[in-house]
Amino acid sequence: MNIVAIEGLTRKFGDIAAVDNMNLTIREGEIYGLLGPNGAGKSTLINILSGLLKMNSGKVELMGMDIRKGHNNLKKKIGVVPQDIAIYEDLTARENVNFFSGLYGCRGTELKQNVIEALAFVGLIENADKFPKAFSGGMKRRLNIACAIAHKPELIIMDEPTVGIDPQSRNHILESVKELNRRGSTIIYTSHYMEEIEAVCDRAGIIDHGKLIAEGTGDELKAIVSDKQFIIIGLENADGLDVSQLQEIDGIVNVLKDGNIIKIENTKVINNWDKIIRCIDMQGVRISNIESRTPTLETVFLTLTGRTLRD
Amino acid sequence: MSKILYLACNNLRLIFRKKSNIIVYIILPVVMISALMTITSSNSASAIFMGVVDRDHGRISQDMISFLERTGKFEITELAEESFEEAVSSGRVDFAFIIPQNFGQQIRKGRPEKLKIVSIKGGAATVFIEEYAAMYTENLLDIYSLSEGDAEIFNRLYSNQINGKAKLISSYVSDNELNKEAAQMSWGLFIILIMISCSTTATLVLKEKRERTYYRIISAPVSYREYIMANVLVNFLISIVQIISALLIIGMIVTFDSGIASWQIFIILSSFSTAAVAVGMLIMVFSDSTSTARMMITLIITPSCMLSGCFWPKTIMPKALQYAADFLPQSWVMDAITTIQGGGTFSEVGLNILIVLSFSTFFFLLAANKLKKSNNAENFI
Ligand SMILES: Nc1ncnc2c1ncn2[C@@H]1O[C@H](COP(=O)(O)OP(=O)(O)OP(=O)(O)O)[C@@H](O)[C@H]1O
Ligand SMILES: [Mg+2]
Repeated sequence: MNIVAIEGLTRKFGDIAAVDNMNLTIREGEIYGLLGPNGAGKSTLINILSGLLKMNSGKVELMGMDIRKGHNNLKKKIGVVPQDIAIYEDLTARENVNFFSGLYGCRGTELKQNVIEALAFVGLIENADKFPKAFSGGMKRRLNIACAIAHKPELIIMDEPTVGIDPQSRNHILESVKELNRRGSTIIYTSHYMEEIEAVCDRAGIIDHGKLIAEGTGDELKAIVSDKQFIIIGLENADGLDVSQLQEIDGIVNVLKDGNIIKIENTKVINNWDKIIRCIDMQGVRISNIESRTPTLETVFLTLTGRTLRD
Repeated sequence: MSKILYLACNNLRLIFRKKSNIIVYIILPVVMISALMTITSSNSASAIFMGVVDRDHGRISQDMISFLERTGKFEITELAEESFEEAVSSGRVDFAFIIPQNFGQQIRKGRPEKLKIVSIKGGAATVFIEEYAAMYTENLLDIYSLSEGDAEIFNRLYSNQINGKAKLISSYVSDNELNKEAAQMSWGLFIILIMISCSTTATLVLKEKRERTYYRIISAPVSYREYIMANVLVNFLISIVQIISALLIIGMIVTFDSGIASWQIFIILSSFSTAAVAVGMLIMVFSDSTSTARMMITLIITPSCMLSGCFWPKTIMPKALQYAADFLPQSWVMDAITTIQGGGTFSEVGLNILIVLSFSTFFFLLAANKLKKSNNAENFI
């Protein structure tokens, strides 16, 4: 069953389409990664899913229900871990989790039990009655997660839950994501980090400029570029270079010009380096540096978007 | 509804978890108003040191001085013509009260010269003497008009007054007028405090948005409306508690009669607190950050309270400003308090209360409309 089904979803801020005619489905029980650079539209998508933002057009179904028909019942089954830490500094860890999960309607001993479980789950049980002021960044992040999972949601949406924390806390969080999934929750996980996505996600979608541009398991995504190589050429002065001539060379998929650097996406099996060099040379432009990169997941992204994941 | 209560309880816990907020929200307003009531009420005021320069040395002036002495408000020292200025400037006396030459004669002619008061402190300390002296003089003039200018009759009436019925005069010059004015100003100040506390509570929403906890609340099955309603509820609750505690404390420690029944003040102020909550909401919806909100609080509350007579009687302001004040709810509250203190019945202020409630409704609608338009739920995501 599809837990999330998005069709033609668009959300604009002024002229910018933060989410642009997006289609996406997420199956029940999977960990789905959303990968994209800053401003790709990940948070906007998540805010629409969690009922905080309205869409301009399109259709979104969560657990088989259209989100426009009353989000309140759906919200009960969702837990959102916001990108920014959202906890009360004036309440203890326990009080924080208690309050937020109480919003989902749970009361009494069941609530107490859930709170303890959630705190134990993120490894904060010894610090349950301390105030977040005394917490490290990683502990706050973990509390941020605990607040979203205590009510045992079917769908957990995590928006960059590992930003700015130490490796130990990061590993702890990644492990918890897997554990939550084993306990039956479907998880949407956004990140800038390819390694994280690779480590925990069953499938991932790459989004850029509000569009889903590729999707699949880690291996499937890598396969997109497995037959490719990247040639980065530094030039002394690229002003006079006509990129279109390069594009005509056999085997070249794409050419990007970035100042005095050109990035060429090339087909591995075709040996065309001599042609590339000759083409540049004939245009009277001098080469200062040539470098070749073999594909990594990072380069999948570069291939697809022409941008790096992080600035 | 249960969600609103749940949110409201959390708000209260968040507010009063900080012990300093108990002081700011409850103790400070209550202490301030009871202190003001106590200080400004002449009953409990410490004696005022008054120097008297009697340029008349007549019977009337001497009687007046002993009357003032009998009021128990003043510690009187007779001062010589040469030394009174020094006495005032050195602080030996709070002020010098000068009875002009031929004062008695002038009274007998029905046209007294104005009594002179020399002080360095200005207003506050001299309020009582001005009031008492004016009353006393008026009383003498009453005798004058009764005697229709006949010196014989005047003397007889005067003797009667002073000897037998001097009590009449002192009860006539009662403390009530002064107390009422003092009480009124104290309530004016209390109104300002209520307004500030309401706006502060309303703008907690902005703090929650900045600190993102708002985001989390809205992503739970809670609507924006429920969230705002919880804030409004807490806000109203706090002001009611402020009003009740102020009234209780005043009832306990201030023994004089402020000229107004507690339940009447309670209803008047409670109706006003709905307006204060609404103003708080307006400030909240029109500010995008806590600092703009703070600026708006200063820019809106203080001037509007000045205009409405919370700091001083409205009547001292130019007519145009008095009319402008009609467009402010505080004005109608102060007016209601004045009316009640002036002996008016509660039904006379019914209209005032109605007008205040209309202001609240109007402000609430304005805020709700603005919220709808700006789709505020999305603004901080
Ligand atoms: N409330 C808003 N008002 C105006 N523009 C917005 C708003 N929220 C997002 N945007 C714009 O929409 C685009 C997508 O933003 P979004 O926050 O979804 O990106 P993101 O993928 O989450 O980025 P990041 O990795 O930095 O969190 C950006 O261009 C952003 O400037
Ligand atoms: Mg984001």
